Amino acid sequence: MAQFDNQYVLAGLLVTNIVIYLIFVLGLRRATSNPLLKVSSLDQAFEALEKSLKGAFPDLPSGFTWGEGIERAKKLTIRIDWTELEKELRTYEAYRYGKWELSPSSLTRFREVVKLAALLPNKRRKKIWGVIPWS
Amino acid sequence: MVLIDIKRKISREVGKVVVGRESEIGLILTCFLARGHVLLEGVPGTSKTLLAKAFSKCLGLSYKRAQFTPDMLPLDIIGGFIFNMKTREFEFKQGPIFTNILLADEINRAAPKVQSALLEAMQELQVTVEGYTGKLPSPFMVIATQNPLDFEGVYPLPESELDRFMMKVEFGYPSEVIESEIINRNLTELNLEVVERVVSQKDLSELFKAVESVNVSKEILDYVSKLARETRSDGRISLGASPRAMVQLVQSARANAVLEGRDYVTPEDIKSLARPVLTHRIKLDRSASLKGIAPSPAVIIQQVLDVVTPPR
Repeated sequence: MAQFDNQYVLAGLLVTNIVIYLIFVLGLRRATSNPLLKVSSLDQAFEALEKSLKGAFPDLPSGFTWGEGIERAKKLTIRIDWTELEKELRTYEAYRYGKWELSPSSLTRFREVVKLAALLPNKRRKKIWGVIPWS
Repeated sequence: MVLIDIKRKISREVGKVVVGRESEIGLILTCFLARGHVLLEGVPGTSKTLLAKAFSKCLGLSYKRAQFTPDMLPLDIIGGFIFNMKTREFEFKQGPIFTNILLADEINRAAPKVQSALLEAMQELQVTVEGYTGKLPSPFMVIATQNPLDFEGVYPLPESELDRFMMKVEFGYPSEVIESEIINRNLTELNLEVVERVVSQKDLSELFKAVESVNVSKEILDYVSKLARETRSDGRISLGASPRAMVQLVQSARANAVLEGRDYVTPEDIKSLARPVLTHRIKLDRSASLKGIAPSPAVIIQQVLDVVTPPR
Protein backbone atom coordinates (compact mmCIF):
# COMPACT_ATOMS: atom_id res chain seq x y z
CA MET A 1 0.00 0.00 0.00
CA ALA A 2 2.90 2.31 0.99
CA GLN A 3 4.74 1.41 -2.20
CA PHE A 4 1.60 2.20 -4.21
CA ASP A 5 1.34 5.65 -2.51
CA ASN A 6 5.02 6.42 -3.16
CA GLN A 7 4.57 5.68 -6.85
CA TYR A 8 1.69 8.13 -7.05
CA VAL A 9 3.63 10.79 -5.11
CA LEU A 10 6.64 10.33 -7.39
CA ALA A 11 4.52 10.53 -10.52
CA GLY A 12 2.76 13.62 -9.14
CA LEU A 13 6.05 15.30 -8.33
CA LEU A 14 7.36 14.45 -11.76
CA VAL A 15 4.31 15.96 -13.46
CA THR A 16 4.49 19.05 -11.25
CA ASN A 17 8.18 19.37 -12.08
CA ILE A 18 7.48 19.15 -15.78
CA VAL A 19 4.68 21.72 -15.56
CA ILE A 20 6.86 24.16 -13.57
CA TYR A 21 9.73 23.65 -15.98
CA LEU A 22 7.45 24.19 -18.99
CA ILE A 23 5.98 27.38 -17.50
CA PHE A 24 9.49 28.63 -16.83
CA VAL A 25 10.73 27.83 -20.35
CA LEU A 26 7.64 29.32 -22.02
CA GLY A 27 7.87 32.42 -19.87
CA LEU A 28 11.51 32.85 -20.69
CA ARG A 29 10.85 32.37 -24.40
CA ARG A 30 7.99 34.87 -24.32
CA ALA A 31 10.07 37.41 -22.42
CA THR A 32 13.05 37.13 -24.73
CA SER A 33 10.86 37.20 -27.82
CA ASN A 34 9.25 40.51 -26.71
CA PRO A 35 10.53 43.01 -29.30
CA LEU A 36 10.48 45.77 -26.68
CA LEU A 37 13.41 44.10 -24.88
CA LYS A 38 15.46 44.37 -28.03
CA VAL A 39 14.96 48.13 -28.41
CA SER A 40 18.37 49.73 -28.41
CA SER A 41 17.89 52.92 -30.43
CA LEU A 42 15.51 55.86 -30.76
CA ASP A 43 14.31 54.60 -34.14
CA GLN A 44 13.45 51.18 -32.75
CA ALA A 45 11.67 52.69 -29.74
CA PHE A 46 9.40 54.77 -31.94
CA GLU A 47 8.89 51.88 -34.33
CA ALA A 48 7.65 49.85 -31.36
CA LEU A 49 5.41 52.73 -30.27
CA GLU A 50 3.91 52.97 -33.75
CA LYS A 51 3.01 49.27 -33.69
CA SER A 52 1.56 49.55 -30.20
CA LEU A 53 -0.50 52.63 -31.08
CA LYS A 54 -1.93 50.85 -34.11
CA GLY A 55 -2.71 47.84 -31.93
CA ALA A 56 -4.30 49.91 -29.19
CA PHE A 57 -6.37 52.12 -31.47
CA PRO A 58 -7.42 50.15 -34.56
CA ASP A 59 -9.54 53.13 -35.70
CA LEU A 60 -6.51 55.44 -35.79
CA PRO A 61 -6.23 56.62 -39.43
CA SER A 62 -3.05 55.72 -41.28
CA GLY A 63 -2.25 59.43 -41.56
CA PHE A 64 -1.86 59.87 -37.81
CA THR A 65 1.03 61.87 -36.38
CA TRP A 66 2.92 61.18 -33.15
CA GLY A 67 1.09 64.01 -31.46
CA GLU A 68 -2.32 62.61 -32.39
CA GLY A 69 -1.39 59.06 -31.35
CA ILE A 70 -0.01 60.19 -27.99
CA GLU A 71 -3.06 62.39 -27.41
CA ARG A 72 -5.24 59.27 -27.76
CA ALA A 73 -2.98 57.32 -25.40
CA LYS A 74 -3.25 60.06 -22.78
CA LYS A 75 -6.96 59.37 -22.50
CA LEU A 76 -6.21 55.88 -21.19
CA THR A 77 -5.23 55.47 -17.57
CA ILE A 78 -1.60 54.58 -18.12
CA ARG A 79 1.02 55.60 -15.60
CA ILE A 80 3.59 57.38 -17.73
CA ASP A 81 5.67 60.49 -17.16
CA TRP A 82 4.00 62.40 -19.98
CA THR A 83 6.33 65.40 -19.66
CA GLU A 84 9.35 63.16 -20.11
CA LEU A 85 7.61 61.42 -23.00
CA GLU A 86 7.03 64.79 -24.71
CA LYS A 87 10.75 65.55 -24.29
CA GLU A 88 11.70 62.22 -25.80
CA LEU A 89 9.35 62.88 -28.70
CA ARG A 90 10.87 66.32 -29.21
CA THR A 91 14.37 64.79 -29.26
CA TYR A 92 13.28 62.19 -31.77
CA GLU A 93 11.63 64.80 -34.02
CA ALA A 94 14.74 66.98 -33.93
CA TYR A 95 16.81 63.97 -34.94
CA ARG A 96 14.28 62.66 -37.48
CA TYR A 97 13.07 65.83 -39.22
CA GLY A 98 15.69 68.37 -38.18
CA LYS A 99 18.60 66.05 -38.95
CA TRP A 100 20.17 67.09 -35.67
CA GLU A 101 23.27 65.27 -34.57
CA LEU A 102 22.39 64.04 -31.11
CA SER A 103 24.68 63.33 -28.22
CA PRO A 104 25.04 59.63 -27.24
CA SER A 105 23.00 60.27 -24.09
CA SER A 106 20.12 61.75 -26.11
CA LEU A 107 20.18 58.80 -28.48
CA THR A 108 19.42 56.43 -25.62
CA ARG A 109 16.70 58.58 -24.09
CA PHE A 110 13.53 56.62 -24.87
CA ARG A 111 12.53 54.99 -21.57
CA GLU A 112 9.00 56.45 -21.45
CA VAL A 113 8.40 55.72 -25.15
CA VAL A 114 9.21 52.04 -24.63
CA LYS A 115 7.17 52.00 -21.44
CA LEU A 116 4.16 53.41 -23.27
CA ALA A 117 4.63 50.94 -26.13
CA ALA A 118 4.65 48.08 -23.60
CA LEU A 119 1.69 49.30 -21.56
CA LEU A 120 -0.71 50.11 -24.38
CA PRO A 121 -3.43 47.45 -24.64
CA ASN A 122 -3.40 45.47 -27.86
CA LYS A 123 -6.91 45.29 -29.23
CA ARG A 124 -5.75 43.40 -32.29
CA ARG A 125 -4.49 40.44 -30.22
CA LYS A 126 -6.37 37.24 -31.04
CA LYS A 127 -8.92 36.01 -28.56
CA ILE A 128 -8.58 32.51 -27.18
CA TRP A 129 -11.89 31.07 -25.97
CA GLY A 130 -13.32 34.59 -25.99
CA VAL A 131 -10.55 36.01 -23.79
CA ILE A 132 -7.62 38.22 -24.81
CA PRO A 133 -4.52 36.57 -23.31
CA TRP A 134 -2.19 38.70 -21.15
CA SER A 135 -4.54 41.66 -21.18
CA MET B 1 13.67 85.40 -26.77
CA VAL B 2 11.49 87.36 -29.18
CA LEU B 3 10.99 84.29 -31.34
CA ILE B 4 9.39 82.32 -28.54
CA ASP B 5 7.35 85.14 -27.10
CA ILE B 6 6.00 86.85 -30.18
CA LYS B 7 2.84 84.76 -30.55
CA ARG B 8 1.86 85.30 -26.92
CA LYS B 9 2.68 89.02 -27.06
CA ILE B 10 0.65 89.64 -30.20
CA SER B 11 -2.27 87.55 -28.94
CA ARG B 12 -2.25 89.59 -25.73
CA GLU B 13 -2.17 92.94 -27.54
CA VAL B 14 -4.85 92.09 -30.09
CA GLY B 15 -6.84 90.44 -27.30
CA LYS B 16 -7.19 93.87 -25.68
CA VAL B 17 -9.78 94.74 -28.32
CA VAL B 18 -10.76 91.40 -29.89
CA VAL B 19 -12.01 88.64 -27.62
CA GLY B 20 -11.68 84.90 -28.14
CA ARG B 21 -9.85 84.86 -31.48
CA GLU B 22 -6.50 83.40 -30.37
CA SER B 23 -6.37 80.66 -32.99
CA GLU B 24 -7.28 83.12 -35.78
CA ILE B 25 -4.58 85.54 -34.59
CA GLY B 26 -2.08 82.67 -34.60
CA LEU B 27 -2.97 81.79 -38.20
CA ILE B 28 -2.71 85.41 -39.39
CA LEU B 29 0.69 85.73 -37.72
CA THR B 30 1.87 82.47 -39.28
CA CYS B 31 0.73 83.72 -42.67
CA PHE B 32 2.48 87.07 -42.18
CA LEU B 33 5.79 85.42 -41.20
CA ALA B 34 5.51 83.13 -44.23
CA ARG B 35 5.09 86.25 -46.40
CA GLY B 36 1.61 85.24 -47.45
CA HIS B 37 -1.77 86.94 -47.71
CA VAL B 38 -4.83 85.99 -45.76
CA LEU B 39 -8.53 85.91 -46.55
CA LEU B 40 -10.86 86.24 -43.60
CA GLU B 41 -14.35 84.92 -44.24
CA GLY B 42 -17.32 85.34 -41.99
CA VAL B 43 -20.65 87.02 -41.54
CA PRO B 44 -20.62 90.77 -40.83
CA GLY B 45 -19.94 91.79 -37.25
CA THR B 46 -17.51 89.05 -36.26
CA SER B 47 -14.58 91.45 -35.63
CA LYS B 48 -12.64 90.68 -38.82
CA THR B 49 -11.80 94.32 -39.58
CA LEU B 50 -11.01 95.18 -35.98
CA LEU B 51 -8.68 92.22 -35.71
CA ALA B 52 -6.84 93.22 -38.89
CA LYS B 53 -6.39 96.79 -37.61
CA ALA B 54 -5.17 95.69 -34.19
CA PHE B 55 -2.81 93.16 -35.77
CA SER B 56 -1.06 95.72 -37.97
CA LYS B 57 -0.88 98.18 -35.08
CA CYS B 58 0.94 95.82 -32.76
CA LEU B 59 3.47 95.06 -35.50
CA GLY B 60 4.10 98.78 -35.92
CA LEU B 61 3.72 98.64 -39.68
CA SER B 62 2.05 101.04 -42.07
CA TYR B 63 -1.56 100.14 -42.65
CA LYS B 64 -4.25 101.24 -45.11
CA ARG B 65 -7.81 100.18 -45.57
CA ALA B 66 -9.65 99.94 -48.86
CA GLN B 67 -13.37 99.36 -48.77
CA PHE B 68 -14.26 97.36 -51.87
CA THR B 69 -17.52 98.34 -53.57
CA PRO B 70 -19.20 97.34 -56.87
CA ASP B 71 -18.39 100.72 -58.51
CA MET B 72 -14.70 100.62 -57.58
CA LEU B 73 -12.04 100.91 -60.31
CA PRO B 74 -8.55 99.32 -60.34
CA LEU B 75 -6.93 102.77 -60.03
CA ASP B 76 -8.77 103.31 -56.74
CA ILE B 77 -6.62 100.61 -55.25
CA ILE B 78 -3.39 100.68 -57.27
CA GLY B 79 -3.18 104.35 -58.12
CA GLY B 80 -2.83 106.05 -61.47
CA PHE B 81 -1.37 108.88 -63.50
CA ILE B 82 -2.70 112.33 -62.72
CA PHE B 83 -1.85 115.44 -64.69
CA ASN B 84 0.11 117.92 -62.61
CA MET B 85 -0.87 121.44 -63.69
CA LYS B 86 2.32 122.99 -62.28
CA THR B 87 4.87 120.71 -63.89
CA ARG B 88 2.54 120.02 -66.84
CA GLU B 89 3.40 116.37 -66.63
CA PHE B 90 1.60 113.18 -65.71
CA GLU B 91 2.64 111.92 -62.27
CA PHE B 92 1.93 108.59 -60.68
CA LYS B 93 -0.24 108.93 -57.59
CA GLN B 94 0.11 105.87 -55.39
CA GLY B 95 -3.05 104.10 -54.32
CA PRO B 96 -3.71 102.56 -50.90
CA ILE B 97 -1.87 99.41 -51.97
CA PHE B 98 1.46 101.13 -51.22
CA THR B 99 1.58 100.11 -47.59
CA ASN B 100 2.85 97.25 -45.44
CA ILE B 101 -0.53 95.87 -44.52
CA LEU B 102 -3.52 96.43 -46.77
CA LEU B 103 -6.94 95.67 -45.42
CA ALA B 104 -9.07 94.85 -48.44
CA ASP B 105 -12.44 95.05 -46.77
CA GLU B 106 -15.27 93.03 -48.33
CA ILE B 107 -13.10 92.14 -51.32
CA ASN B 108 -15.85 90.11 -52.96
CA ARG B 109 -18.10 93.16 -53.31
CA ALA B 110 -15.85 94.60 -56.04
CA ALA B 111 -16.05 93.61 -59.70
CA PRO B 112 -13.64 90.89 -60.88
CA LYS B 113 -11.39 93.39 -62.74
CA VAL B 114 -10.68 95.19 -59.45
CA GLN B 115 -10.04 91.90 -57.68
CA SER B 116 -7.67 90.93 -60.48
CA ALA B 117 -5.79 94.23 -60.09
CA LEU B 118 -4.39 92.78 -56.91
CA LEU B 119 -2.89 89.70 -58.61
CA GLU B 120 0.45 91.21 -59.62
CA ALA B 121 0.82 93.02 -56.32
CA MET B 122 0.18 89.89 -54.28
CA GLN B 123 2.48 87.65 -56.27
CA GLU B 124 5.33 89.91 -57.39
CA LEU B 125 5.07 92.67 -54.77
CA GLN B 126 4.91 95.34 -57.44
CA VAL B 127 2.32 97.11 -59.56
CA THR B 128 2.51 98.06 -63.20
CA VAL B 129 0.44 100.86 -64.69
CA GLU B 130 1.01 102.01 -68.27
CA GLY B 131 4.67 100.99 -68.28
CA TYR B 132 5.36 102.36 -64.81
CA THR B 133 6.41 99.73 -62.28
CA GLY B 134 6.21 100.58 -58.62
CA LYS B 135 7.73 98.36 -55.92
CA LEU B 136 5.62 97.77 -52.87
CA PRO B 137 7.11 98.22 -49.39
CA SER B 138 8.42 95.13 -47.63
CA PRO B 139 6.91 93.33 -45.82
CA PHE B 140 3.64 93.48 -47.72
CA MET B 141 0.53 91.61 -46.73
CA VAL B 142 -3.06 91.74 -47.90
CA ILE B 143 -5.62 90.97 -45.23
CA ALA B 144 -8.86 90.64 -47.16
CA THR B 145 -12.25 90.11 -45.64
CA GLN B 146 -15.18 88.60 -47.45
CA ASN B 147 -18.76 87.75 -46.67
CA PRO B 148 -20.06 84.26 -47.36
CA LEU B 149 -20.91 83.72 -51.02
CA ASP B 150 -24.64 83.28 -50.43
CA PHE B 151 -24.90 86.94 -49.41
CA GLU B 152 -26.47 89.59 -51.68
CA GLY B 153 -24.25 91.57 -54.08
CA VAL B 154 -21.06 89.54 -53.86
CA TYR B 155 -18.84 88.34 -56.72
CA PRO B 156 -17.01 85.08 -56.11
CA LEU B 157 -13.22 85.48 -56.30
CA PRO B 158 -11.70 83.81 -59.38
CA GLU B 159 -9.59 80.68 -58.75
CA SER B 160 -6.38 82.48 -59.72
CA GLU B 161 -7.08 85.17 -57.13
CA LEU B 162 -8.01 82.65 -54.43
CA ASP B 163 -4.79 80.78 -55.10
CA ARG B 164 -2.82 83.93 -54.19
CA PHE B 165 -4.17 83.83 -50.66
CA MET B 166 -1.99 81.64 -48.51
CA MET B 167 -4.81 80.95 -46.08
CA LYS B 168 -8.51 81.35 -45.65
CA VAL B 169 -9.46 81.83 -42.03
CA GLU B 170 -13.09 81.33 -41.14
CA PHE B 171 -14.75 83.54 -38.56
CA GLY B 172 -17.67 81.78 -37.01
CA TYR B 173 -19.98 83.18 -34.37
CA PRO B 174 -18.41 83.36 -30.90
CA SER B 175 -19.44 81.07 -28.07
CA GLU B 176 -21.98 82.23 -25.50
CA VAL B 177 -19.34 83.16 -22.90
CA ILE B 178 -17.18 85.02 -25.44
CA GLU B 179 -20.18 86.86 -26.87
CA SER B 180 -21.17 88.01 -23.42
CA GLU B 181 -17.62 89.33 -22.90
CA ILE B 182 -17.75 91.13 -26.28
CA ILE B 183 -21.01 92.84 -25.35
CA ASN B 184 -19.59 93.80 -21.97
CA ARG B 185 -16.46 95.34 -23.51
CA ASN B 186 -18.51 97.27 -26.03
CA LEU B 187 -20.53 98.97 -23.28
CA THR B 188 -17.62 101.39 -23.11
CA GLU B 189 -16.07 102.70 -26.32
CA LEU B 190 -13.45 100.38 -27.77
CA ASN B 191 -10.25 102.25 -28.42
CA LEU B 192 -7.48 100.93 -30.65
CA GLU B 193 -5.08 103.25 -28.82
CA VAL B 194 -4.73 100.61 -26.11
CA VAL B 195 -3.03 98.29 -28.60
CA GLU B 196 0.72 98.84 -28.38
CA ARG B 197 3.51 97.98 -30.75
CA VAL B 198 5.21 94.87 -29.40
CA VAL B 199 7.63 93.98 -32.20
CA SER B 200 10.48 96.15 -33.40
CA GLN B 201 11.75 96.32 -36.98
CA LYS B 202 14.85 94.38 -35.87
CA ASP B 203 12.74 91.65 -34.29
CA LEU B 204 10.74 91.35 -37.50
CA SER B 205 13.84 90.93 -39.65
CA GLU B 206 15.11 88.30 -37.20
CA LEU B 207 11.83 86.45 -37.42
CA PHE B 208 11.81 86.45 -41.22
CA LYS B 209 15.41 85.20 -41.22
CA ALA B 210 14.51 82.46 -38.74
CA VAL B 211 11.66 81.29 -41.00
CA GLU B 212 13.99 81.14 -44.00
CA SER B 213 16.47 79.01 -42.08
CA VAL B 214 13.94 76.39 -40.95
CA ASN B 215 14.90 72.95 -42.23
CA VAL B 216 12.40 70.96 -44.29
CA SER B 217 13.52 67.34 -44.71
CA LYS B 218 13.16 65.46 -47.97
CA GLU B 219 10.61 63.13 -46.36
CA ILE B 220 8.39 66.06 -45.40
CA LEU B 221 8.56 67.36 -48.97
CA ASP B 222 7.60 63.92 -50.28
CA TYR B 223 4.71 63.81 -47.81
CA VAL B 224 3.46 67.19 -49.04
CA SER B 225 3.60 66.12 -52.67
CA LYS B 226 1.69 62.93 -51.81
CA LEU B 227 -1.01 65.10 -50.25
CA ALA B 228 -1.14 67.22 -53.41
CA ARG B 229 -1.51 64.13 -55.61
CA GLU B 230 -4.25 62.77 -53.40
CA THR B 231 -6.30 65.97 -53.82
CA ARG B 232 -5.83 65.81 -57.58
CA SER B 233 -6.83 62.16 -57.94
CA ASP B 234 -9.96 62.42 -55.78
CA GLY B 235 -13.00 61.99 -58.03
CA ARG B 236 -15.07 64.41 -55.98
CA ILE B 237 -12.66 67.27 -56.74
CA SER B 238 -12.46 68.97 -60.14
CA LEU B 239 -9.57 71.27 -59.20
CA GLY B 240 -6.97 69.94 -56.77
CA ALA B 241 -4.26 71.76 -54.87
CA SER B 242 -1.85 73.67 -57.13
CA PRO B 243 1.95 73.50 -56.82
CA ARG B 244 1.78 77.09 -55.49
CA ALA B 245 -0.58 75.86 -52.77
CA MET B 246 1.91 73.21 -51.69
CA VAL B 247 4.81 75.69 -51.69
CA GLN B 248 2.74 77.95 -49.49
CA LEU B 249 1.79 75.05 -47.22
CA VAL B 250 5.48 74.33 -46.62
CA GLN B 251 6.25 78.03 -46.13
CA SER B 252 3.50 78.40 -43.56
CA ALA B 253 4.68 75.22 -41.82
CA ARG B 254 8.15 76.80 -41.53
CA ALA B 255 6.64 79.90 -39.93
CA ASN B 256 4.64 77.71 -37.57
CA ALA B 257 7.81 75.86 -36.59
CA VAL B 258 9.48 79.16 -35.67
CA LEU B 259 6.49 80.17 -33.56
CA GLU B 260 6.73 76.80 -31.79
CA GLY B 261 10.44 77.36 -31.13
CA ARG B 262 11.77 74.80 -33.62
CA ASP B 263 14.12 75.02 -36.58
CA TYR B 264 12.61 72.08 -38.45
CA VAL B 265 9.19 71.20 -39.84
CA THR B 266 7.24 68.22 -38.55
CA PRO B 267 4.25 66.43 -40.14
CA GLU B 268 2.21 67.99 -37.33
CA ASP B 269 2.92 71.47 -38.78
CA ILE B 270 1.76 70.35 -42.21
CA LYS B 271 -1.40 68.71 -40.90
CA SER B 272 -2.40 71.60 -38.68
CA LEU B 273 -2.14 74.07 -41.56
CA ALA B 274 -3.47 71.97 -44.43
CA ARG B 275 -7.06 73.00 -43.79
CA PRO B 276 -6.64 76.81 -43.81
CA VAL B 277 -4.14 76.61 -46.70
CA LEU B 278 -5.92 74.14 -48.98
CA THR B 279 -9.66 74.37 -48.37
CA HIS B 280 -10.30 77.51 -50.43
CA ARG B 281 -8.20 76.29 -53.36
CA ILE B 282 -9.92 73.03 -54.16
CA LYS B 283 -13.03 73.03 -56.26
CA LEU B 284 -15.66 70.36 -55.88
CA ASP B 285 -16.79 68.41 -58.90
CA ARG B 286 -20.19 69.76 -59.94
CA SER B 287 -21.71 66.34 -60.71
CA ALA B 288 -20.45 64.91 -57.41
CA SER B 289 -21.98 67.89 -55.61
CA LEU B 290 -25.30 67.44 -57.39
CA LYS B 291 -25.35 63.73 -56.57
CA GLY B 292 -24.68 64.67 -52.97
CA ILE B 293 -21.57 62.50 -52.72
CA ALA B 294 -19.17 65.41 -52.23
CA PRO B 295 -18.92 66.70 -48.69
CA SER B 296 -17.45 70.15 -47.97
CA PRO B 297 -13.85 70.85 -49.07
CA ALA B 298 -12.78 70.88 -45.40
CA VAL B 299 -14.09 67.33 -44.92
CA ILE B 300 -12.32 66.16 -48.09
CA ILE B 301 -9.03 67.69 -46.93
CA GLN B 302 -9.41 65.91 -43.59
CA GLN B 303 -10.04 62.62 -45.40
CA VAL B 304 -6.93 63.17 -47.52
CA LEU B 305 -4.88 63.82 -44.36
CA ASP B 306 -6.26 60.64 -42.82
CA VAL B 307 -5.26 58.51 -45.80
CA VAL B 308 -1.72 59.74 -46.53
CA THR B 309 0.86 58.33 -44.13
CA PRO B 310 3.28 60.96 -42.83
CA PRO B 311 6.95 60.12 -42.25
CA ARG B 312 7.36 58.78 -38.72
